Amino acid sequence: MDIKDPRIDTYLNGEMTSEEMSQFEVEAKQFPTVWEHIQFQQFMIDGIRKEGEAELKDFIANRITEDEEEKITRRNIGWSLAATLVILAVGLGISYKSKWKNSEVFLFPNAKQKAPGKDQEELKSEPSTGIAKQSVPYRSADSTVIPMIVEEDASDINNSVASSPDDIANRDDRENVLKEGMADEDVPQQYDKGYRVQVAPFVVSAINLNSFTQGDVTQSKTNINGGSGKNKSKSRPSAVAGSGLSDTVATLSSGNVAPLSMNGNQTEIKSAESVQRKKFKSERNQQFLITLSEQTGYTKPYAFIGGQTEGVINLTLWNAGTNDVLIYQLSGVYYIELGNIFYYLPLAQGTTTALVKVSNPRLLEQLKQ
Amino acid sequence: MYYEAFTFFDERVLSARAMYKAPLLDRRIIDRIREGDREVLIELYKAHEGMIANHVFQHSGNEDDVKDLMQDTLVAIWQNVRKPDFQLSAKLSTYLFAIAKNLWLKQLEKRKRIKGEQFITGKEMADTQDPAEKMDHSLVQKAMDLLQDKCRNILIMFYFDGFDMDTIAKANGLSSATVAKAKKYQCLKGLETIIKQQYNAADFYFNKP
Repeated sequence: MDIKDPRIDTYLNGEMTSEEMSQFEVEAKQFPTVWEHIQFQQFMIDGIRKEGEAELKDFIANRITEDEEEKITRRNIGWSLAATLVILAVGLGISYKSKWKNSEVFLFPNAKQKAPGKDQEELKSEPSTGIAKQSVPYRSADSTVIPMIVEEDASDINNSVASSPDDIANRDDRENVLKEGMADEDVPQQYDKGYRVQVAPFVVSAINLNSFTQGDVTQSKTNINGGSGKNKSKSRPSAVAGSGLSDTVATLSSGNVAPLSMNGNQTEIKSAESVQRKKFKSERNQQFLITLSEQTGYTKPYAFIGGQTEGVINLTLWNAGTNDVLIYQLSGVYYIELGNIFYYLPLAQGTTTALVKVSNPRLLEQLKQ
Repeated sequence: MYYEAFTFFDERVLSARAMYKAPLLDRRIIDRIREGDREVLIELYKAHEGMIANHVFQHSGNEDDVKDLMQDTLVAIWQNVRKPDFQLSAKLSTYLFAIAKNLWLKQLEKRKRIKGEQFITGKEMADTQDPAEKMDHSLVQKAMDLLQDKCRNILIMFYFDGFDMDTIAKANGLSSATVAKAKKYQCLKGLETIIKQQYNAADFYFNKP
């Protein structure tokens, strides 16, 4: 027997019966070299099997560890999602509650501070540079929101805001109600009764304002101050208590800019700081009834011109955010500024359009001046 | 006539009882192991870990013991099932549990023996050690790391997994079983050369006749 005997492989591969193996071992042991070779081969094969075992154990251990880690990760993701949802739910709940509280607006909250007719007296006694101060408590800036939840009065003015484009069809009628309901003489009565409007959140406000050119400012202030004389104010007025102008609640005028700022449901009018002394030719008063809403699902600002009602352009804005809303008129073209971004304000009636940014640098420069 | 029919029926029942027929799920698992699907071991691990853990915890084991025992048990099942003459004579879970119990018993005995041997000196211990245990197979395992991956795979697939040469040829991109067989022989020779180059004969012990 030598090491090339084919029976050696058969023996090493375990392909012999136990009897054959015993006989082979007895025979092989008679040849020490062959037996040593067989022993060494067996030693290697056992080592290979051990290596195979170790490899299989590693495979099992690794797969189980991977699965456990994946399970933990999945569980963590689940918990993270759950936590996020809880936080969101709590946040939304707080926001909802907060907005709900904030939206419990007393109609004309400043009415008690200002008796009817007092506005005009105050305005008369104060210089025209104090226009901004006068405008702060002005009723026109008070939010008007929908829907009316608790108490609703047919004559109430505050249910006139369209919350979505679908509501726009009913806008005109409601806005007429809004205008009519904003008559000054109604204010104290309603307030004295403790008339309270509870409103749903997310509806921002409706502002009735007039936008004038610089010449209009002069004209309007003339009206306010008793209808005579020229406006010599050096400041750029932003808002004027304009009971003398119309029955709209607010009359905003700042040259050709009508600024207002949004703060949640509360809308206030801010004064602009820059001075504009140029005088323009008087133009016809252009009044805007602006409705701001954020409940559309749109991501970009959209505008809807709902037609004119007695010379007032009904403008609904979506996604104006909480930025100042500034309306400019330049060479007969209207622009609107939302958060330092200027957009063209098309006055095509009955269309909802996404506001287009002004990109012309010269025009932007002019608008920023 | 009636008696004959009854006898026939009786024999058939006895015959059915004598031949265990593994449930369908067990047979599928056995088939998958024979096909070389290692993923089935993971399924078995997850399905039986609880049962084995209970047994180990009741017999002074811990979580690490459970993991080791599960691995040893599954390796044993893998090797046994892949033998050509393997026949499942009970439910697979029963078979698995029996192997695990047996392995755990051996492990406990080994620990008991080691605990008793702590009082014996190193020399005495070396004298009493089983020659088979004295052979250090880690030499071979280290030498295998120096082999080409293909060689390593072929040797493990043949000697550990017990795959036939056709399967080995396909798995390793070889043209035929004959080529695979020649390659296996070549790889074994290569392993032998590495071992003999790296280690002295004194490093491994053979039970010489």
